[in-house]
Amino acid sequence: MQHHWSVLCQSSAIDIDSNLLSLYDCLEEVNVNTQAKPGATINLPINFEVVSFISDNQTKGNRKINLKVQLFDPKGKQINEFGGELFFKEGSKRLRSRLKIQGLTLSESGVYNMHLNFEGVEDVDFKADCDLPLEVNISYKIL
Amino acid sequence: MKNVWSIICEKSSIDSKTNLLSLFNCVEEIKLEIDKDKMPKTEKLVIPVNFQLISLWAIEETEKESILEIKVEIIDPKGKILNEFLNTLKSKKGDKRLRSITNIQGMQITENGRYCYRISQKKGKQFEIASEIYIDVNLLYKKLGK
Repeated sequence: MQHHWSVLCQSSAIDIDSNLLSLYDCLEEVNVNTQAKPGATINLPINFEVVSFISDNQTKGNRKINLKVQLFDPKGKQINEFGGELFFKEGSKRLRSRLKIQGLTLSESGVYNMHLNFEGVEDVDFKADCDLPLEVNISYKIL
Repeated sequence: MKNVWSIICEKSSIDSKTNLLSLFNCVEEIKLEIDKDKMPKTEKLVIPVNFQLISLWAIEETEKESILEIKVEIIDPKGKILNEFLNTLKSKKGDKRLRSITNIQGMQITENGRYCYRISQKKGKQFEIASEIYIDVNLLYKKLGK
């Protein structure tokens, strides 16, 4: 089993005819203009997706993988955690995961890090890690 | 520089207002029906497909300009290198990220199986693997008539 890529994007779609995946608006940087006080927590109403692609050399059996996503602030403090279970169906040797996340909690400007951890469940011997950086620039509006 | 991700897709677009990148039709598998009678007698077959190999790199040293030398190798299911090309990318002082977009015209194939696009970056005098992307190729040989 091998993890090929994971991408942070605003949305994704799988074409019904060709089964091809498209990733829309890959997120690298977020600029926020807020009226909040510097240092205050900002809940940004943004929807995004963590899309991952994993493949396997064999196609036998249903194979389960746990995905844990941890969001770290620029100081390295964990501010959120998401997760889910991914399944390779019998006969399938490729897996796409589309984890939808609503809202983003921010406290300061800097590079936030989304750490992804994939781990096989039961007989599945698979471990992979991946880091997706997200630069956040917060400008404080003084009224 | 650190490779964040590399993806092969049919085409991409960068929004002029938001500078956000979108990747259309990520390629994982190619299924092709070939007329057995019209098969070329050469070892390699070139599929007329156009791809883009897109990578996102995170720049670690942002205080100065940096140069990224990358090598892309196309490897067949038996591990034979079919093609390779080099590319040099430059980042400006203050840049934190770099996108590289390489257009690939045509895909050389030798047999059915998993083809690898290996992206290596130069560190010191040697190239180190940064990312590997795979495309599964399924060729169906058929007699498509006269």
